[in-house]
Amino acid sequence: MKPRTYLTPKSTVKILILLFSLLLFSFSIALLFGSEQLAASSLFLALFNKVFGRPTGLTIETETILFVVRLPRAFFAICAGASLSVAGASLQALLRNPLAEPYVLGVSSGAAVGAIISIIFAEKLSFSQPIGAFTGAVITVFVVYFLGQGKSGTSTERLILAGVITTSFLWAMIIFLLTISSNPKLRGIAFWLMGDLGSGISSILGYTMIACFVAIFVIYLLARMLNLLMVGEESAMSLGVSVEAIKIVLYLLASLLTGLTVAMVGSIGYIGLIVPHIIRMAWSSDHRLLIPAAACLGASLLLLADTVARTIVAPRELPVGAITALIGAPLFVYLLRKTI
Amino acid sequence: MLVSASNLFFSYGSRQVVEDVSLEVASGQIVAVLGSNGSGKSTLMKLVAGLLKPAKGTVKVENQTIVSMTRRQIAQAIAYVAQETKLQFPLSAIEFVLQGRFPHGKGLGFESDRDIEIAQMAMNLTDTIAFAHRELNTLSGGERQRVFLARAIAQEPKLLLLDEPTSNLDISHRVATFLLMKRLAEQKKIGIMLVTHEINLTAEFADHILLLKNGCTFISGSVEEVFKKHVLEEVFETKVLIDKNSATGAPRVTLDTRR
Repeated sequence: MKPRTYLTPKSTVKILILLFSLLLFSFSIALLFGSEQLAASSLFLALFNKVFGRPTGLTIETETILFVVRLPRAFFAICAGASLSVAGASLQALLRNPLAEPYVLGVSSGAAVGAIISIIFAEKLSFSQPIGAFTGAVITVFVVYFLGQGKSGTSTERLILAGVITTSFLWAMIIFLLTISSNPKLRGIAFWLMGDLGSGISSILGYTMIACFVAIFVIYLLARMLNLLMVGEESAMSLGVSVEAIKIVLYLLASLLTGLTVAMVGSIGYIGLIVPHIIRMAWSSDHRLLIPAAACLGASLLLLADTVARTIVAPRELPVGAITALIGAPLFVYLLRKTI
Repeated sequence: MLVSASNLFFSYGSRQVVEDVSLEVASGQIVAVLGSNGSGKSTLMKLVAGLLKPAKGTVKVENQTIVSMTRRQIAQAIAYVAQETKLQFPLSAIEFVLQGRFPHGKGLGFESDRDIEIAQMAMNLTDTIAFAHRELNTLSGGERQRVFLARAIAQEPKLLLLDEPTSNLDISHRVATFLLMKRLAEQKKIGIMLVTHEINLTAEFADHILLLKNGCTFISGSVEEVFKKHVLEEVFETKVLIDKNSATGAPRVTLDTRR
């Protein structure tokens, strides 16, 4: 067992620089690779030129691929990867359960139902989709939380079981709603069950990124309280945390991150499970590192997973949710065996 | 008075757990709460800690009612050590002890050098510094229990609430823990309230004893007043012999197992 020390500002900055470099690397990979491969030199020149409003020096086709297809998709990946990882880390601390994750708990499916309902019934309202997804996520979080509470408190198994049951119920609702509706904006069953970064709608990307960034930042501000909460609610309370209020804020923020992600790119599973686990194993459980590190690593891993999803069976594509589930589900089993 | 709890009532659903119990702890005083399992000791402690709200009665900390204090204010005055804390995430012993500094910090940012010094001192006092950098879940139950105590000491409270602080300890660390309590009470003027089944050590170290039976005060008084054969036999429903500890002169309780 390697020794673990407390977190210092210096070590935090070091790790975050490392992870941020990984993010830049993954970002470049995601832009370079695909059905058509770009040269690294022309990519950086084009990005540089674009920023300063000069001609990019690329052919029209390549320019379209880069700026209309790959760049928004990469930003979707960054936003979704960071949001889901931070939502997962927060839920894990709140529920004191390393297996908690938006997808496993059914929160993503709840967000999908909310988004679908808002598309069917309130299509014309602006932002109806993210608001519907957020509402669906919040309701699901609380339902699963209460289903997961037994007579003797919350147990790991009971919570996961509550998530499984809720998910299967919500999936049935998704399929029902998609079958009865012919609204073209609904984007297919696979999108809502498995997630696909290629289906993101660029017009909402900017707002969503800002909202996600703000939510992640607020969670980061609460990092020390998360540290106390992951030990226990009573323990956190005795150390001066207003547990009831902070819990609600954190559940709402985690639901917001999940809801926004699902409204953008559908339900992508397990990233919120894998990423915090890696950081805890490699460095620390301290949320002052875990939250920003999970954001960087989650974004990087989703960028890389999506690059794989786009290239592995080219010219066809896999939904990125299939890749994350292929890696995440076995890890889930491993963690389940370790915890129970 | 550092802490005074008066006429506390509490029930879980229809089951009355604490019934009209009062208790005072002064600075530098060690108050022990004894009683059989399920007699309401831990619940009483949580009421004093402000973790549970009494159905009736008040708790005052330095003449301020605890309900009018913020969580942070309470945490600056009172440290509470629960019986057992189960950890789901990897956390080193020193990280856990540093959590005790939270009520004194800004809420943001990192622990100061002084915080780290205080945490290390608390770990020295509880004989846990040797495994400061080991993961809490890899420690033995007794080692973990001392780390929990270290966190409470690092919190620099005026009142220390300890729920069975020696239940997992070997005999030498039991004595060491009681000696440490005595030292904290005498030197730092910390008031200590502990729930314990460590009846003989209590007889030697406690300044005041509260004996609970079925959620009610059976007797509250000094060691001499409480450590009487008929009192203990009635509360614990078991036969005992009482004589004197030949080393210290304190009452000594021997369990009489003859039936």
